[in-house]
Amino acid sequence: MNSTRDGDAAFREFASSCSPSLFRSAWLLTGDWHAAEDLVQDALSRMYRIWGGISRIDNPAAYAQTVLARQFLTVRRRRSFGERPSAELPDAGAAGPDSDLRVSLVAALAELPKRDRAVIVLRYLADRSVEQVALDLGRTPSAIKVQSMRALAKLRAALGEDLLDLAQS
Amino acid sequence: MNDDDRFGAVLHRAVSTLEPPTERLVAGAIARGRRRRRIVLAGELATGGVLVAGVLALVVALVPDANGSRTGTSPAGKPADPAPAAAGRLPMSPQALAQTALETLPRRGATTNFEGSADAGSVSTAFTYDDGHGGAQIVIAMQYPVPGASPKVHGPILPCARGSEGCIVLSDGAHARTARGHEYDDGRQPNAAEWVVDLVRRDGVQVSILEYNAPRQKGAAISRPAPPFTLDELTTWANDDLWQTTITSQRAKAAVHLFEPAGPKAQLSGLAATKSASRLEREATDRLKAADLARKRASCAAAAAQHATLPKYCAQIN
Repeated sequence: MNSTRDGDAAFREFASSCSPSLFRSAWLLTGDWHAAEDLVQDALSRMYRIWGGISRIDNPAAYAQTVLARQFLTVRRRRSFGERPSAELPDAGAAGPDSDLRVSLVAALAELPKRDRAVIVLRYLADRSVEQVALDLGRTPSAIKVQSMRALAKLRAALGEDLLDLAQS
Repeated sequence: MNDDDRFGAVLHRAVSTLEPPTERLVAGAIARGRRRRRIVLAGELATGGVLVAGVLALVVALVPDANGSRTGTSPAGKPADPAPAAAGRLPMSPQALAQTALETLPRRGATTNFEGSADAGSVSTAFTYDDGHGGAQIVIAMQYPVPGASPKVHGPILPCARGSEGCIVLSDGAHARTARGHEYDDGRQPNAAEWVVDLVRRDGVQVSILEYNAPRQKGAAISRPAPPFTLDELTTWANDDLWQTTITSQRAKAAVHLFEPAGPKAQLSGLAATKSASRLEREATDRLKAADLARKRASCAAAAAQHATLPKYCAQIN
């Protein structure tokens, strides 16, 4: 019983620390707050199930990102079965230039195929190398390179070159 | 800074101020994770032949989550079947349908007396559910389009006409019709309730759940004032993504212990019929005894887990 409690406490600490980054990835992947929460919970629940053998995994946080991306690609997203009234709206971040940037980015990402979106998020948000992304998604590095270049070109076309200047503003 | 780096910076900046509800996410993930562990454990035990039919079902249904509810706190729904329909998958079996029912029960309770059947494009199961307020028969049926098979749709339930009573269109496009009716329309046993939801998903799959306030649909004394679940609970239950038309072979194997599905009924007469009736009676008695024993074992386990005083019978059954 104690080992279960200890395991739960350790998992809770791990999940709390990596939830924000997982959620940001999920939000870019799904473009929807609730779907992102759902995806994060799904990925973390899978981590929880294997938590007893987690010592065999070098970097659990990175692995959780992989699980999340794979879940996004393989799971037919569940249907929401009803509107849920809420006393407060989710905090989607402060309004302003970054908020506009988010809206534009998510809209442009939504135009990409799911696999391209996963590549973009793993490469540029989770800062994975081409080789790591290839391993994560079961593709060859060259396929990931091509996919990445094609997806970036589409995003540039949708958002305009000016968008990249925001990074330096 | 090259283009790749600049784009990475844009992505980071765009989402850096998003603050998710971490506490809720983690609590929900743990609840879902526990459920996943239970499902795997149930499968392992079943294939190992450790527990007898019925008892395992009871245990699975009674193991509570930390918060006493059956699953996570996701605002967006429940886990979907992770594997898409693919080669090597089998049609949903009556036993797997019953197993799915156990995994998705709106509330925990004892479950016994499983039975079920399947045909091309349809599969059903029935069992008795008891949440401590009296046994209630639950019937679950799925019907789905199969090339070359004629659908057996019981009554027109699609589409929901605007303003039609008891019929709603859910946010995912599924149509659900609910009704609080009676088992007998002719006035016999006016208190014998039959509550039902018929739900048709956008993929054409129909999930129907019926519940009664008696342990059997017909011929049993009423055991409780009303069926156990509300119509909203039935609707949510029927719309669970775990109701799949195909399953993996592992899942089929894991659920096969629950019961033998009904097959074609042989015509019996004379001595054979008498023997058959006698055997069925013995089996029914055995099932009742097993269910009673399982219920007591579960009560003892729950009391022990809470460090409460154990009932006297606990010393005799272990």
